[in-house]
Amino acid sequence: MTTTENTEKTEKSEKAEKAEKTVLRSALGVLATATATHGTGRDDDIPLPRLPGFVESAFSPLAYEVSRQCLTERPGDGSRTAVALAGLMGDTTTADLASRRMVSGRVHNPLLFMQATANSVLGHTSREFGITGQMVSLSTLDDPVTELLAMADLLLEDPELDRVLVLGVELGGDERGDAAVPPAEVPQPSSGDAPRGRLAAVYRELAAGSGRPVPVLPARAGLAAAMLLGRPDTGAPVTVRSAETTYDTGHDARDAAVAWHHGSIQGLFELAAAHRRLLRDGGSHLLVTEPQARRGPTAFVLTTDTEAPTQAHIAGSETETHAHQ
Amino acid sequence: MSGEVTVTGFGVRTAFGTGAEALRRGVFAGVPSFAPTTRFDTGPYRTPMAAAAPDGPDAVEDWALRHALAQCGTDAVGMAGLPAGTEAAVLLGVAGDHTSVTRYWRGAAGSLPSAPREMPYGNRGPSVAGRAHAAQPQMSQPRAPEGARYRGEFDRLRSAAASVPGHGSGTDANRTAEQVADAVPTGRPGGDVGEAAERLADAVPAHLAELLAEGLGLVGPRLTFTNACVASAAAIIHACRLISSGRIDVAVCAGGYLVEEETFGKFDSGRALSRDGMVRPFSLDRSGLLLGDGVAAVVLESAEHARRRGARPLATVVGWGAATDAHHIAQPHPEGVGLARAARQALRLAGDPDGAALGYVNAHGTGTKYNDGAETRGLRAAFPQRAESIPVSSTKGTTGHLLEAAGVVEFVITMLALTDGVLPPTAGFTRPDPECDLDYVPNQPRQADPRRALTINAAFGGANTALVLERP
Repeated sequence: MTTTENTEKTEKSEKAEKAEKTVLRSALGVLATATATHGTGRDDDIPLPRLPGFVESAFSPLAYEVSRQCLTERPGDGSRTAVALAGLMGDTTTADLASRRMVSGRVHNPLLFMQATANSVLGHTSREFGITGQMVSLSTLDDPVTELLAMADLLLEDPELDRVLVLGVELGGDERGDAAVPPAEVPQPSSGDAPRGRLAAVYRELAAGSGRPVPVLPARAGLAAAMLLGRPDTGAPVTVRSAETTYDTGHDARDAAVAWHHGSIQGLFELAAAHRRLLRDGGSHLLVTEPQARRGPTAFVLTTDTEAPTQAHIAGSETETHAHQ
Repeated sequence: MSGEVTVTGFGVRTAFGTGAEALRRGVFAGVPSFAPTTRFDTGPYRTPMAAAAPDGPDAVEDWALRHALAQCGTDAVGMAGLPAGTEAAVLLGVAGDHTSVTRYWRGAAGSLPSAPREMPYGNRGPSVAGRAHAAQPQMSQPRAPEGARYRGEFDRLRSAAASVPGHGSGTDANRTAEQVADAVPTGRPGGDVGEAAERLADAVPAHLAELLAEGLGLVGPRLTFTNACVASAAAIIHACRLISSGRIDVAVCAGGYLVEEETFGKFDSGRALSRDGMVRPFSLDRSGLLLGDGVAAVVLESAEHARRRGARPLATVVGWGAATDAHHIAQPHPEGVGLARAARQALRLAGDPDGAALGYVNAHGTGTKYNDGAETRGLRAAFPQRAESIPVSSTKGTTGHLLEAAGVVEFVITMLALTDGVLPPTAGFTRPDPECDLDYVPNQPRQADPRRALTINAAFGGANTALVLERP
């Protein structure tokens, strides 16, 4: 390779790296956040809210619950609102239940057909709150916080939209969904304490070579987190914007160990927690996401100020990184 | 809009085979591809019919979603002449490959005492599918050829595609579909155990996007849309936004669905499948949808980027829109409100709010009672002055419903209608329905000279998408 080619490649790489790291073109106003957990053993676990037409799985009730909290706290024009939901592989509880019924010779349950896609609960939410903007559901391998913020940033460039509700849902295993006797051809862990079953096998396969853990969420457990986002001029007390690069943080977390499993929505929980703290205490907060497969971590600054945060702000602010260096 | 979005390549695969010629021979000729599927035992279900490439009992293995996506992705980037290492987004609309999940649970069930299989609609498996045919006079005879013959046809199409300059897998920096398929892992040391675990991960939609991007050697952001029957259309719209806003220059948008038992059973339980073995969009006799194999990929590129590297634009995407009905979790709004809103957004963006330049609409047209009437009313609301004079067709009468892949496959069909000057018909049309009162191009293709065309999709939860294409 010639020197010129090397230079060009380096410049291109730097450009690509910078473009990827600067996720948000504009600041976003955080209008509301909400989190909900069920069956995790946390103190604030909630019973699943009853959602007519949705059965057996925590996925849709939790997705609806966090959406409801945000949309009730900050009512707005549904015709100018969009929704984006992210998760690793959707409602695995329903998917596995339907599969098990099918292979055991039982007919499908039409209700499982109805709730088979995440679109269904989004449709329910849109009807309840009169939301007629675009609704999107995504599959993300990594913590969806970056993709969801980027999605909101892009959608809010549409002059017909003022607000974007973003949410993530994560489910645990399911004692009825994970096989009591896994098929012989699927490798299972040697340790008796390690997670077993279909989902655990998927996580192990995805994590092969990356050092990521296999989640240990209890059966039937679920987590959901949501943020209602708008432009800063919509009166949001807290804004979130991209940090220029992770180097602004004074450290480089790219080589840090990855603490969270695929499909974790921990970043959304941390963002929601930071939002609550800033509403209470003011100031700024730096959120550094976990490194992803093809890029290092991305960093976001949450602030109660409308001005861009200075280095002094950042230096004096609370810094949270998923990388747990 | 700061950057014009062009299409510079595509790859497509349906029950008719691979590539544009297969679509011309099937979709544009108005030939339904429905036949009793032999991929699984259809005995427990109300119908055995699907538009699945009938290439033998191992078809699902042969047609593993990752391989089909690799094939279409290779064709698309080959046609566009994108070299490996290009910085391009890969945006995928897919629900994941359910076959491995079914296989897992079947294996687990095999380890446990088995329960007798319920046969609520009689044991009407593939071996007696012919009798089911005979018992229902309205059901068409299967038009698709038998397995070995059809497999030969696939081989012929692959060879032909590779030999045609500017088309197929032979043009891209010496990369062939086989090489990309090799790059996409097909198995690993450890034999069956390793492969079974690896295939389980294909149920994760985002994993398929990673495999596709890695296989194609593309560098850039990756995102996977899972919102049912608008998933790949949403991927295209997302790419249009990213390109027109200057965030990226190139995107490969793909989508895929291959007929398998899991989804088939769900649609059967929802009583959504056609009762007479045909899909009859907008026809008074319509009784439901049938599922079909569909995989496609398109290369979208900013006009400036395409011009700089000398790529030939096949079409331009001049408008897009997306909206929600806010009506029901599984039924469309009876007046097609969300669909109309999405279409109006797309037309406004295209600078043609009245649809004056539209010469064709590729409708969602599932052949269900709920959809087709609502869609007709939605189209009337979108361009009230023009609705009766614009030809509208649903190609699901030939391909079946391609679910997550519907958006991208029908995008390719719409583009071919513009470039070929032929409108694909609504196959299976029998009698007009008073509530479906537009020009549906019934049963026979039509010569035309459209400059612009609209393609529409809708999905569970009331999601709607619209894209306006323009020929060069």
